[in-house]
Amino acid sequence: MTVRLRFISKAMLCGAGLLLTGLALHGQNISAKADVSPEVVMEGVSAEYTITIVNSSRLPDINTPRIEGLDFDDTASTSSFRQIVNGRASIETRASWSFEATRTGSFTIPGRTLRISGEEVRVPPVSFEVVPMGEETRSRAFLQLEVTDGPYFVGQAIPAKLGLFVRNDLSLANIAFPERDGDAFLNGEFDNNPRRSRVRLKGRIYESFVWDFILTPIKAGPATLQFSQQVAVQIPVSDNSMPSIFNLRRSRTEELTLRSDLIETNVRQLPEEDRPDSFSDAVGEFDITADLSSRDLQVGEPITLTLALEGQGNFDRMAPPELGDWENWRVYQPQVEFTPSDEVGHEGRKVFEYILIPRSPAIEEIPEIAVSSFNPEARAYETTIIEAEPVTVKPSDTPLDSRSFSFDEEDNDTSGTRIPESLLPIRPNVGFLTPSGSTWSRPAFILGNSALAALFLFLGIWNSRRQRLRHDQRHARRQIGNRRIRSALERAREAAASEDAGAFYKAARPALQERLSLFARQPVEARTLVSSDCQQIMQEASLPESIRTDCLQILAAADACEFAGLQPTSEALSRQAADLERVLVELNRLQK
Amino acid sequence: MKSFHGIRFLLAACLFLSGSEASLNARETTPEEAFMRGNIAYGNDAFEEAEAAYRSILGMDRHSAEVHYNLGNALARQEKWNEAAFHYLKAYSLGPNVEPVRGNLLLTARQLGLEEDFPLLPGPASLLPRAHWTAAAALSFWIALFLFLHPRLVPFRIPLARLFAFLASACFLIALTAILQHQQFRQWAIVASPSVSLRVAPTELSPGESQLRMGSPVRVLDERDPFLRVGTSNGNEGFIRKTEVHPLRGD
Repeated sequence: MTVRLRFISKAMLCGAGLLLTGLALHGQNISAKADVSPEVVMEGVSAEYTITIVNSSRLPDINTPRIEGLDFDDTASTSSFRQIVNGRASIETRASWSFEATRTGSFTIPGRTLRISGEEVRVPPVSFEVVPMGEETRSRAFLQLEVTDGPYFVGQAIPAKLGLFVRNDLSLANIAFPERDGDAFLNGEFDNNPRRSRVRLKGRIYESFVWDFILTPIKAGPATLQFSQQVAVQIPVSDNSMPSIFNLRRSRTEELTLRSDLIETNVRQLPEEDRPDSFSDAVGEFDITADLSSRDLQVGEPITLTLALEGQGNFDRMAPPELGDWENWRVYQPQVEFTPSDEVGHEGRKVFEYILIPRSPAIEEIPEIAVSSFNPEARAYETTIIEAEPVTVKPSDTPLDSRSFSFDEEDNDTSGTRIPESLLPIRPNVGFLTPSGSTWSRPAFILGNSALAALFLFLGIWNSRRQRLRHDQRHARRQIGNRRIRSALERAREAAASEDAGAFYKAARPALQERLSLFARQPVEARTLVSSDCQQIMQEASLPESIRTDCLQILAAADACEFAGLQPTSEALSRQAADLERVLVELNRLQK
Repeated sequence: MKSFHGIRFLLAACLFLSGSEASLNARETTPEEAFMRGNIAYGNDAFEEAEAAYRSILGMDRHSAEVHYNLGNALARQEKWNEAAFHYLKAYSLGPNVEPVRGNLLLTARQLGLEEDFPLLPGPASLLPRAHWTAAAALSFWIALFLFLHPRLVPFRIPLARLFAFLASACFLIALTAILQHQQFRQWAIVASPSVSLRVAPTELSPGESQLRMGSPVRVLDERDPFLRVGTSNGNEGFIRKTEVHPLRGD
């Protein structure tokens, strides 16, 4: 009880406080202010832009500022707090955006007008300076890109290194993957495992993370290349509020966007003139060799021609050298295998394995093969010629039964006209045996389809009856009533046959009640109908006098038997049984 | 008494043995057994025996592409190229995907000097034999009908029923097209007589417009007893006697 009273009193106090604040706020003007923190923003260092609404707890939808050179977070963080100073209440509501400057200079975030609680509130513009990253800040962490000197050619594979250096006394809280700025180059993917080491630079010790990767120029013309990376470092700060005896160390996390030095270059197109026909996009310095699996050949027997390119270059972009149309040879697309010698795949050996099938014993040599590449150092195309190799080709002696087909020379059409030289072998399995004649005439087919048709018919009728019973109340009532009447009539017949008057009237009354209830204008519960109700229904339905009389007689006799115990004679009972049947049949007919 | 019992035992044993022998004789060879017997005979170069074994399967009112193909091979080995061509065509009609059928058919055509005629034959719908296409058509028809009418047939709704119904209808139409293609292919027949006149009118007196070689494929276009109106693979039309061809439709 005491606890509850205490709770109620606290709640009342809070409510009163809020009420007082509300009353105090009521009538005060709503104003807005804006500021940037810190006042001097450093390039690449996170800062915050805040709009504060004074004397209102409502914060309208405010769009994120879009200013060139400032990279704002899309979502704002909001907060609100109230205070009462010297009996004067105030409330402030804030929306803050983090942003980062991507260049130095003067910036102004323009003002705007907000509509709060029907009032127009002006948010003032904010001007501030973005200065280059201070030496101290810059020395905390930096990004360094090392790439070989140009000129660069489109499609060339350029080995590069990107190093992230973080001062040893700072701990790294978060690190994102480096991102490339500039669309004239493609770079290999950066993985989670850069090379880590400690290095001394300008008298400081740094933790370094180095990624080796391949840069590929993809667009000719003037181009820039720069990499950026976001990191968060923990910077220790001194805490003067606590006695030094506790030796407590605090740190704050600072998000930094690091950028490598901008590289400006001119990417060159591969020269069009003197480009050999055999050039297949290989750019680099390669040694090219060829090897043949056999020189004693037979028509139809496949051999392997291996072309290997070994050296430095764009192994991932080069296409298989084209062998051209060799007369009397079938040449298949090669299988390709690359074995890198370094981590990034700039050095290694790429092997193209061609399957060749001689098609004529007239062949005397493997034709000459030319493979070309572009050497960026020499700035020229280099072509290696592999001389024609003499071979001997024997005619085929394998029986064609054991191979699939032998083709005529000109038999390359798509109609599938393949003529074997001898009969192809028999089939070992008997296959899917069926009776001769049409499937339509098979008993199983006819039976199955008839069964499905019958099932559909049955489902259709059943569902239609179901739907009618559900939606047509009168029909449903009639169906149920008819069922009850049939059952009652059956019982009445049995009772009349056994001369049991009590049982007869017990069955006859509900049969009549059910039948007459179907004539009622409004739905009625048949069992609740007494003789007077039945009489009224018959009058309203204008039933013939004879039927009305017969019905009332049976009902009166039923009443007499039930309430006065009057037992009719067996002749009277059999007569009434006949009357009952006749009346029910008549009523059924009239109802229809 | 003992000897009487012994005689009764002997009699019973004889009756039993004779009964079982009779039942063994009475047991019919299955199509699979006949096929295996044919394959063994073929492997032993007993091509006539192989032919008889394969024909016995057809006599059991059972057939398959493989049976006709192997029979075609057995006939081809006996250089009965004309009949072989008929059975290869039959095999092609029943199982368009049985790979070597077309190869052997063309080889047979070359032997008959008809290599220009057979490649012009349009193939039946591939992927499935005719019986399977028929079953697929019936099944997709009933599924489409059920999906279209199901609100009237069952007390529940099937999600995306209309979409599936249209898909089933599309399957039905595809199957129907394939059946029609098979039906068209079955209009082909093989000339069974050494030299047949392609008459310009369905009478014995009609002059022959051209001669058809034994084994030539012709397409039965119409029937005018006792003649058939046929078209050749190179576009000629005329009349030949019914007895002069083996139609694919006939079994």
